[in-house]
Amino acid sequence: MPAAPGSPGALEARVPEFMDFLIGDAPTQRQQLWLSGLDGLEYQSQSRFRKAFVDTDATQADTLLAPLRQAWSFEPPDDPVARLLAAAKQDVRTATFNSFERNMAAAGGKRPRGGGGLYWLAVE
Amino acid sequence: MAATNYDVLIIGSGASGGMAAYTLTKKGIKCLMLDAGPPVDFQNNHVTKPAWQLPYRGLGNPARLPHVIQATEYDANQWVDEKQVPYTHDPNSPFNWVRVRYVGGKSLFWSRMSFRLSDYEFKAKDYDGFGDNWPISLADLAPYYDQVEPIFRVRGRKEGLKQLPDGNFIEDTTPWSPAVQKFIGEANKRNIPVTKMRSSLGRGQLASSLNLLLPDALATGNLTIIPDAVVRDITVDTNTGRVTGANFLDRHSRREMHAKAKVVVLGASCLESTRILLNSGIANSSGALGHYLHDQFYITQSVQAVMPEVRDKTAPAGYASGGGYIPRFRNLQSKEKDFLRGYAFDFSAGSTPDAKFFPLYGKALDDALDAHRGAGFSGTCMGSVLPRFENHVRINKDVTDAWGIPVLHIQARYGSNESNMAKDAINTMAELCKACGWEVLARHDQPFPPGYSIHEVGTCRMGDSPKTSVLNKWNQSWDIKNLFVVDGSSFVTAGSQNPTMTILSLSMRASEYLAEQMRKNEL
Repeated sequence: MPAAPGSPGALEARVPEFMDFLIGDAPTQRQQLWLSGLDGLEYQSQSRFRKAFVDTDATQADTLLAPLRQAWSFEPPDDPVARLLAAAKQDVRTATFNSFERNMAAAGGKRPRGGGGLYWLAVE
Repeated sequence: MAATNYDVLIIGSGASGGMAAYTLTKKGIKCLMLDAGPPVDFQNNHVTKPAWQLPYRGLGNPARLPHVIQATEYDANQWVDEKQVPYTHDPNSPFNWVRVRYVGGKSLFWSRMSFRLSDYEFKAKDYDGFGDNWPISLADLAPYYDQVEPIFRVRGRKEGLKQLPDGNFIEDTTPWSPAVQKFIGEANKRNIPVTKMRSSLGRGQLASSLNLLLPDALATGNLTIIPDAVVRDITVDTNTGRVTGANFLDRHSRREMHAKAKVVVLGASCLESTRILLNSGIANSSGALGHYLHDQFYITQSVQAVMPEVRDKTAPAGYASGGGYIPRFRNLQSKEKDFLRGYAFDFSAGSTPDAKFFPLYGKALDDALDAHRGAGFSGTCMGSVLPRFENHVRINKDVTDAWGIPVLHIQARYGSNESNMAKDAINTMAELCKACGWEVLARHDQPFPPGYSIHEVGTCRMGDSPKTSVLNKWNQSWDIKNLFVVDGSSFVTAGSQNPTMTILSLSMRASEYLAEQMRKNEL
């Protein structure tokens, strides 16, 4: 989720920290999906390029992210890395779009006002 | 309050319970209504919030509501908390039981699609030999649909189709957009009909029991509503075998109380009504109680296509907008496919396809989404599910809810009829899109787990014989004369149409019968 002029990307929107928080609260199955997917991605990066995934250049990263160029399927892919990337693509995009940073940029640098959806309060 | 002797105790305040109260109170019958949930002030119970203010940025608490796929972080508080009112199922055959406990029930939040069933459903066995007919036909229920539709202000267009009977509509005169016209042209070439959507307009923000039924019932002075009343079971006079009322607990204090009435009407929703009957140990001389659970299988975004003529903002404004409905067209004249019965679609043109459907990421994905803004076409498939004895619910005595009431174990699975139907549906829709010159971006024929459509019906079905059904043709228990069940649990077979109009009409019909029987002192 790259940044564009006037539009912060996932990193600027502090999505990595947010994903830590989200997955930390998730049931084991979803945590496992992230853990094994990230392990797999790191392993592939080390064995192909002998460096950590975060240290790969754009071309190398693009090679490792090849599953993101596969056609969508309803059943998640079997491969742990492909499975993680399919899930992460949705979550990272939503977390970026709905970030304070992105909305503040859209509001011209002021604290964003209005917008959003109808939130149902709990009735006790 | 609950010590008063009422004529009728109504359990549940949604579409079916609300309609029972609406019908009975107008005839001077004193009703007490219990609902497990609180009253809700619809205007003041929600606030506008941007997603960035929500703790999970709109993605929702990942540990909450695992079975409610449609829940969002915005509406998470609408749904019943699965920890508070659990249910069990085999891990390999999930059932998504989606529930609402507020006065007004699920009618507060429904999608408002408003159809009649046809004799292809009421007399389904006559057409294909499977299962059982309903004990009633369209002619029996039509006078009630005629009355229910104006209350809910159903908008639609008369089409003259036997499989989707016309109703008492507010006429839909909106034109089709050119893209939809093109689609209809290709569909009609293949003898596939396309209709306008039929939808309840309601009044104000709601098309609910809360604003359309309960106010009229309360205005008669004959209705008392006790909210936050969680019913445990129905009580029976062991001498006469008649029901006498219900035991219930206050939702907050958990204090147990009893409500007494001459007649009990259950409208607590399909599975909750059946749960109450099973926990009461009554009305099951047939052995059919809990069985024949079915719904519609749903495949949302079953086919996602893009319209090249709209790509890159090349189409004139309004070219691709709106949607429509494809009523069932399979197996109407003769058996023509490797499955029984059929499916419907609702479709829409002019959306932007979801990012997940593009095999791209990063800037390339953003560019593709920009190019395809408003160029999407997608259809949701709604397939009829065969009512089978083995798909059932029973009480799981080992698990209780927050009020100590034993929960349901739900055992439901789709079979080959459903999967063959789904394949045909998606092939047909993809073929129609291709015939329009549209590119099929993604397709899939795997339904969500049973329950997802929130159209669960059956488990307390009507019938012609006390040996094979729980209720007679008046939604009255065969075993206990002064017990009625008026919700979706009474369905014999659901077809592919959304069930709400039928639930409302059945409840109105049963309530008129009940009132007449009471007047004649025959209950």
